Amino acid sequence: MGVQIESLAKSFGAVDVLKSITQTFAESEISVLLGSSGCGKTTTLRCIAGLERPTGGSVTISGRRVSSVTPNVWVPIEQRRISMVFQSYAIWPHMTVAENVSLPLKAAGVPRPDIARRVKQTLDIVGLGAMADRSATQLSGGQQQRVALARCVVSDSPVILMDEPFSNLDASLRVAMRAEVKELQQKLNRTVLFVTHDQEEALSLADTVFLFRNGDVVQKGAPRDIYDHPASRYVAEFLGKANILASDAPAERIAALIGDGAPYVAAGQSLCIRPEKVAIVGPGKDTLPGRIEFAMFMGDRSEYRVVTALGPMTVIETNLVSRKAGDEVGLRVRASDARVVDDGN
Amino acid sequence: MMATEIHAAGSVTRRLPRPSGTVLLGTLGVIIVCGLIGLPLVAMLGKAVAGNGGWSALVRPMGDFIYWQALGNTIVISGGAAALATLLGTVLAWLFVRTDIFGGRVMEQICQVPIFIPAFVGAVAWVLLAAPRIGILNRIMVWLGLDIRFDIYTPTGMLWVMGIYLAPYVMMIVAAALRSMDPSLEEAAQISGLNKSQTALKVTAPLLAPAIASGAGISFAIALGLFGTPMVLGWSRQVYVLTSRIWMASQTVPQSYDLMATLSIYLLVLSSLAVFVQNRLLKGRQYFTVTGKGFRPRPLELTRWGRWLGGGFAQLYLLLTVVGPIAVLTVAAISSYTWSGQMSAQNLWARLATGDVVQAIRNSLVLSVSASTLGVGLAILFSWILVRSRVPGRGALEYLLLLPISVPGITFGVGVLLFWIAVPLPVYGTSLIIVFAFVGRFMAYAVRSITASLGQIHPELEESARIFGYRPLRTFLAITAPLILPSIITSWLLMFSFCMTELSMVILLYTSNTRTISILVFELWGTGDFSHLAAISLLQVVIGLVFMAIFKLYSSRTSLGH
Repeated sequence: MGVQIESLAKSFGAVDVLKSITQTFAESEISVLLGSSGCGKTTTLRCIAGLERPTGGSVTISGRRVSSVTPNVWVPIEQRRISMVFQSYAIWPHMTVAENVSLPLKAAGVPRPDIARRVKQTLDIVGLGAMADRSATQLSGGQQQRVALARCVVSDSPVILMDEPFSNLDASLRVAMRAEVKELQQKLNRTVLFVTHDQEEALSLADTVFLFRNGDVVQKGAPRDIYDHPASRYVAEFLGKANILASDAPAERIAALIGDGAPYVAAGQSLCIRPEKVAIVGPGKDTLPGRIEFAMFMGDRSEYRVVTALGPMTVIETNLVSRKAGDEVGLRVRASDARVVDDGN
Repeated sequence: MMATEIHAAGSVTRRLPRPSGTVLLGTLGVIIVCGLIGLPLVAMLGKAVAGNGGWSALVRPMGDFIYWQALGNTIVISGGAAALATLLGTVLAWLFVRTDIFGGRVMEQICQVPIFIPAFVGAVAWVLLAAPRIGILNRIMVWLGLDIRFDIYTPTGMLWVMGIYLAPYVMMIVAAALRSMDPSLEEAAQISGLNKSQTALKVTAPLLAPAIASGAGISFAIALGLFGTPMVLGWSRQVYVLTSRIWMASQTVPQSYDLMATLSIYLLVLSSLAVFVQNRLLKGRQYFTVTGKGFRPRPLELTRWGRWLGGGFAQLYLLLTVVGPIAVLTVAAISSYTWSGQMSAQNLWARLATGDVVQAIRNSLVLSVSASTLGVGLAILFSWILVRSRVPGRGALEYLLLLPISVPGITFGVGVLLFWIAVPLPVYGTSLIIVFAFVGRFMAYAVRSITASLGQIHPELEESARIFGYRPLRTFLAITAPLILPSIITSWLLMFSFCMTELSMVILLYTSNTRTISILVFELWGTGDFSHLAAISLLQVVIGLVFMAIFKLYSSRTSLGH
């Protein structure tokens, strides 16, 4: 069950936006479709919703084939039993909050008294119980977002699609909504497909991350796996920060930084080291010497840029020790924290 | 507007996938647009060319001096009218927006009234004011013993009447430009060391030039197409313009269709040229509307005298276009015969309560309501196709839909006439042909307004309704239609008021059963019964003003609401 796409392709004129993707988005999980703009993640979501007509392949939702090019199958949008949160919220401005939330039930032909009851229940769940009769235009961004969520909750579609739902919210609200969506999903147990370009959002929300690039999925996996074991330099740099050491970096310097266990890096590969895996020790033997170029204090941690013989390296450290620009330091990395990645995709 | 507040999405290009029905809808749309707009224009061109002798037929009238004269008159009078309108409109706009004259805000609204007074009616009023013998101003001069005489039956008189009634168009365009001009542009110039007059010359004027040029172009194009005004003012001294010549060609027996078509093409070329030049002038020079913000620049503080002078100018303008004409029409309408001094409201009622008038009002209402309703309905369909669908050839469709805006009314009327004569369907000679002409010519205004409004509705609002289970039609009725309702209603009102006062197309298409109020006014002018004429004209003014009031009230309510 869940959502399957098979050889899904979409081109606009001569531009191939999706290049034959085959993936399964598991039932009752949050699948995050992550990538930079133009990578095909939103197009994938819109093909699943039926808002775009794929030029190749098929889409299956909850075991029902809703779209396929050969044989020709096309289930209209309104019959796909999905719900969706849009980037613009898409709250109907001429309706009240309650009317907005009741539309999915009206569409399904639910009797009137039941509609009122279920709308009230749902608004209580998302914390808008007191706002039922407000005009939708009087709501703040965060409240509109909740109305959009309420519409998904009230319809009993098994699949919820979310297209960059938080990109218009300010940073602190975004973090709060993230937690709320996660909690709601665990309570309702629905299949969620969540599109975002924000890697932090992806890592914190996902059960499985699907990383898109140029119309294809370049890596999928649990957030921690994909973070710790990036398949390529692109993935490493897109997900979180990374220090990249090319294959032609001087071996003795690498040895100073990592020690004898440093992995072998072939041509066309690089070494990837996460900034928080770099330890700052006093300058001395068996370390890579460097000097702090500048320090950015971030409250719970600090980010340093350290100039070394291997080039500038980014280091993130909890604030047990206070350091400042100009300090001479030595850097050290455990061999198991240095990952070999391909330079390509 | 309500939708734009929360979804101020700029260019909205995302479209729904093409449902199979859209192709059918598109085909139907093409047929309708061709029938209403494309083919009439083709029929006109065809008649002019194929009638006799191919392309050379197009220049044949030019062998006759009277048509050179008509062309010259058209250019001179329209050009003069446009110049006068531009001057008046720009001064008024500047006074209202940038100075502190008394009651500027209110006066600005009132100065839009002339737009709603049919041009033909304004001309009739000015005949009563300034015609050589019956003009009341001349009588006053005689009474005062002054040796000043006015003569409205001259080219100067014609361009005067046209110009003063076209000034509000320029005023509205220039006032909007002045409002959207960021005052910091002028402030920056002053900080950079320019004094006030240098700033006005080097910064304000160039920034304003496109708007003024656009106002001039629009008033020139409208003046070209005017029919009633040059007829009323030019007839007695044989000052004919192209529109008068086209009508005269329709009065010969048999009708000279070839000549009508050829002269219409001249008119079309002139107005296309005006639109083209205006577009060229504006190209890449639209400094305004970039931010879409409204500014309230600090008004220039006039001296006491300045405030009186400025206010007096605006009041004089209103006296000449609204108060004077309405007063003179009223006096004439309630007098037992013109300037008899015997006045009674009885006279007015007696003149209005005839079978002719009642029938004309009924015809006007039926034709205008049908045309506006059909036109707005089609405009909704076409706007949806233009903004939301992926039907190929949308660009051509949009061009064709908006084309009639730059086609003079009488030209369009000739096209409609020739097309339906050639088509073996019982349309020619019925009220249907007038409805088709109205829809074809005026639908463009509705299309422009509704596409703009639809473009402001984020597609996700429709997409989400589909996602949550509404079929396309239900989505349109429950989501799209309510959101674009204000533009639907204002378009309907606008089309209705255009149709109610239309003369230059109906004059070629009506029969004794389909006479409208405008036709009645025109016929009464022909008989020379000025008291009767004044009564019906007054009625048209009242209808115009009522509609302006409804229109203004409605648009202010919708822009204030939400």
